[in-house]
Amino acid sequence: MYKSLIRATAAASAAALLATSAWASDLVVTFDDLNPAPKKAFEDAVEAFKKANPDINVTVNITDREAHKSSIRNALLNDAPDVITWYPGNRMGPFVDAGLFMDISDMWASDPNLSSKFNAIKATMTRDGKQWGVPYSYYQWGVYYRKDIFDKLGLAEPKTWDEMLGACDKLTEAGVTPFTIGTKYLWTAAGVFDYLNLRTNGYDVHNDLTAGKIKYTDPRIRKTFDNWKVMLERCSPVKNHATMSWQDAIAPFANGDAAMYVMGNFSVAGYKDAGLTEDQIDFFQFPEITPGLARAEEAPADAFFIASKAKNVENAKKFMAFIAQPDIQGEWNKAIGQLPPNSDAAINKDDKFIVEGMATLSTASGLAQFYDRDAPAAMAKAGMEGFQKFMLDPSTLDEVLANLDKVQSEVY
Amino acid sequence: MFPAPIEKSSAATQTAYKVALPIALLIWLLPLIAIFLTSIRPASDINTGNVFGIPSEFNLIENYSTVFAQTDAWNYMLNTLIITLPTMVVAVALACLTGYALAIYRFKSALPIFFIFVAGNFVPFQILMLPVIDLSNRLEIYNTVPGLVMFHAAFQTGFCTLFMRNFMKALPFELIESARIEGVGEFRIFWHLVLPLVRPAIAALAVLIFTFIWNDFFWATVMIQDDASLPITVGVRSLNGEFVQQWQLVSAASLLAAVPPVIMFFLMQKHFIAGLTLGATKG
Amino acid sequence: MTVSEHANSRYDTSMPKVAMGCAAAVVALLVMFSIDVTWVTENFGYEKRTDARVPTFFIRMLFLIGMLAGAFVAFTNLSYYKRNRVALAPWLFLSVGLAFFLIYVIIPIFQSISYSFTKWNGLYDVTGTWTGEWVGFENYRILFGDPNFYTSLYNNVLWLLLFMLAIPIGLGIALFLNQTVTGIRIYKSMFFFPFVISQVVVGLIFSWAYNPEFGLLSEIWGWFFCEQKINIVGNITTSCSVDPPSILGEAKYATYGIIAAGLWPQIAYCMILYLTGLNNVSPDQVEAGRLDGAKGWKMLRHVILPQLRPATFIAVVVTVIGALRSFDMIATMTQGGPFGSTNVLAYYMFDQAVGEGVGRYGYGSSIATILFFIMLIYISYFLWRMYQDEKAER
Repeated sequence: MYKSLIRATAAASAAALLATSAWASDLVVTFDDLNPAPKKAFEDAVEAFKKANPDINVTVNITDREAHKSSIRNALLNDAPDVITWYPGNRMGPFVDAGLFMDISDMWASDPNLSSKFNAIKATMTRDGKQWGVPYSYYQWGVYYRKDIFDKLGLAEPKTWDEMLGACDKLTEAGVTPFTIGTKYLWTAAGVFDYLNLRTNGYDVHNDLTAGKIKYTDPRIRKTFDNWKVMLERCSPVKNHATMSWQDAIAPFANGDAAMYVMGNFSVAGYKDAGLTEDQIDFFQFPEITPGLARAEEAPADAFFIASKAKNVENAKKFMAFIAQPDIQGEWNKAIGQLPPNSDAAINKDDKFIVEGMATLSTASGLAQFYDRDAPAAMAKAGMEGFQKFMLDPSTLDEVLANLDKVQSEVY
Repeated sequence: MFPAPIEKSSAATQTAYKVALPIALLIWLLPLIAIFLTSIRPASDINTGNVFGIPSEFNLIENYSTVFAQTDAWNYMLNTLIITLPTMVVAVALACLTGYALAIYRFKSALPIFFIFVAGNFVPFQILMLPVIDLSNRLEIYNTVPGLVMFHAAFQTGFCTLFMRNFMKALPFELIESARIEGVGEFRIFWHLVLPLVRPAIAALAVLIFTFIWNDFFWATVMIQDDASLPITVGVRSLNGEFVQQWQLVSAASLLAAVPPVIMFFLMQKHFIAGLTLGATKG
Repeated sequence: MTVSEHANSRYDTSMPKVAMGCAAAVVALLVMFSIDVTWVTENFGYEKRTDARVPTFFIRMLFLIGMLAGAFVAFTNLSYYKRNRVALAPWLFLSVGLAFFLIYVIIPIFQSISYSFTKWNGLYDVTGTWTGEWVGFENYRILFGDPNFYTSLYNNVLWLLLFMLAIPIGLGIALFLNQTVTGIRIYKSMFFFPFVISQVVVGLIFSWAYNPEFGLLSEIWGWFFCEQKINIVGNITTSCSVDPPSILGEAKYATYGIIAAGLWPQIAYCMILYLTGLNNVSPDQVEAGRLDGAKGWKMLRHVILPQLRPATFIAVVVTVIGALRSFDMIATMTQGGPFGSTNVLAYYMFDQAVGEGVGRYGYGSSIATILFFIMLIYISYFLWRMYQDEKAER
């Protein structure tokens, strides 16, 4: 009743209005990072797009990243922009399944950049055999460490599991806690788990686990936890990690009380803010555990999607193709200190972390998004709580794994 | 009076009592005092673990102005105010009407309806959360200040009705009866006769609702995502993430968030307590 | 005109007014329905639809009020109304408040219960169709096998039990402060003070107090067990022979830590209830008790407490409600962690329904439903008590 009344009365007035808006060529883009650097990089890219397409009138909405996580639900229904940022992997699943994102497989097949320069990341943009978005940035994970402490103790970057455990023993002896971590918000623990799992079992097991095809009590996953247990014993994390955020955990690292940190590249700014200089910190790839296993890495990406309700689909596709270009991706990621997914894009050679990151990711056999992006949210939440519980008390392992199996059977 | 007045006991007991009072207060407010001291310390004191000692520098002005300069604290405060005041007005106004209907008129459904208000007032917020989000979405006011105000006002109408109805029940009914016999209209009776009599209740409710809504956290978290419309309670919590390990700033921001209700309380103490303790004296 | 004719005309329908009222109401209603966000966006020059939402709301609200006013004028000028004034007026007084309350509070309760029988992630598809599915009691089946649910339930019971401590402690402080020495009023206000502060702030204060590195407790702990040392890179670091407890970081302490923080304002509330109650204790009965030789504890138990029963009742009610509503503190202090060990039903529901990522609306609703029925026990008890009082007054 209510709706039909609105429609009846609105229809009359709408007819006149449509005439005015029909010939303007518009594009509405929603972006989700208000931090100065990412915001500017995005705006610069939009400016470049405007210059290339002077006939398109671009409107930009920039929202807070956390707020975006819930407001996107409405945005896609009521206020649909043409292009919107979101995460690939399982995080895009619900919107893809509800038909709120547009299938752009045709672009991935025909666009010169998308069809050949994004091979490493194509899998994470794919669901149901179709591609749904265009990634504009990603970054590496790995071990950040205090080079000055390592030098003082005569330690080299460990390449293998045994070397790392040996380094940990030496650090502990010298009164330094090997690892810092803050697990209050859980996801940091997932980073460690993912790496142990990728190095113990490889990329396929990671994907099968997060896709719900392997149980947590599977012997392979148990092996991962066995390694983690060894790591907790010999490479002990800082105390009180359960009350610290990832930023809080920088403090012991900066003070020299802890020497290593399994983290993403965005954390480099945090180390520098805490007073560490480029000489004091460095990066190494998480060492090999199972010898000979193909090396896969964590590389969470950010991407643009077209809303199914987009009003200007042609312009939206133009924008997507535009941001897939190597020069745009290069400029953008230089500005935010991350890596361009387009393999032809130039990177910032002066940033040693970016150079190492590029080397790490471009030679990786597979790229994982991250446990909490690859697994459905409800599973990820339970999983990460389990990881934290295990970290605080490894003897609860059986209980944790049994519970995760149960959650898994309910979520998928 | 109970316990026996202290004046009747020995001088020693009296002195002991007078000494015990400030000590008890000090212990009671210890967390608050400590956080205040923290809020005027420089960062270096916090890193060296100087919690109770004299601050090495008094950074009262620096810390508090940093909070305003580096964050949207001022904006958050303003948002809280534009959420709180309309809610207060709407809820109290509606409750005057509903309370009047339920207290003055004798009709069969009066008690059941009253009980609906009372019961609704006590339900857990979580049972309302998802439908209210959905409703606000459909009205296209989700994630806006009016969206939050609408819910708050509706929900607080329950508590205000409980309060108003009980207060009006105690009014001299004969007064209204005689006005009716005089032929005064129902709305005139309400406006000219009853409203002036319930002024104390309106004042008490206004302070209470002000404090409740000022301190609301749950609904603001649920209903508002936009940083630009966030109220101070949610704002302060997100500052906690922003000021990593800068407890002096987190403390300063927290204390700032507490100031308005505290001022309200001290100004309107009598009404405030009258409101809170409604029913604590009679059966 | 005779007196009786005049009296009769008082009850006549005044057609012009009714017609005007009706017309105004119908017009306002039509306008209200025809205005929507899209229309306002396009006609008021807003760039984004989002920006037009608040103005649209206010415009529609204005017409809604206009419609109500028109309907009110029309209705009160009907002969029917004039004749049955006393019977109909209360409904007019009630209408807006009751409708508002039903829409936002009462109906959502039933909606939530119905959501609890669905599997839904909160999304509608492009056409605005609901994307969930009915699953019957499936959510409850999962819930009853979910260890987090039992942890939450157990914590709720802990909250309920330990929160009750607020009542005797509040009474104790009230008795301590119920004197007439100079300045006692200020003491009373200062003791009440924690109640006025937002729970978020209380939560932050206690998070800081419990912080094992910088907090109040670690400081006190440090006096006994810790010393400052120089670490490998020459910075000062603290080293303790016994590590300070990480209250919010260890599952076995965390809930108690939060409850202790929650008790602080709750004690203040109970205290003020008892102070008011003590104020109204009849001096005659106290005197009579003294003459009977009752003193101290005996006096309290047999003379004072019975007179404080209304205060105790309210204290129990607000404490139970406070315990079951505990959300703000958990959200500020632990977010339910470590590993879900400080969840209560209220927080667990929130976390499952709208926490990080895409929610489980159906599952969350089933948790909310359970919480609602627990609360309903207390609500029913409260209503029953009220009903007894009402009956007694008649």
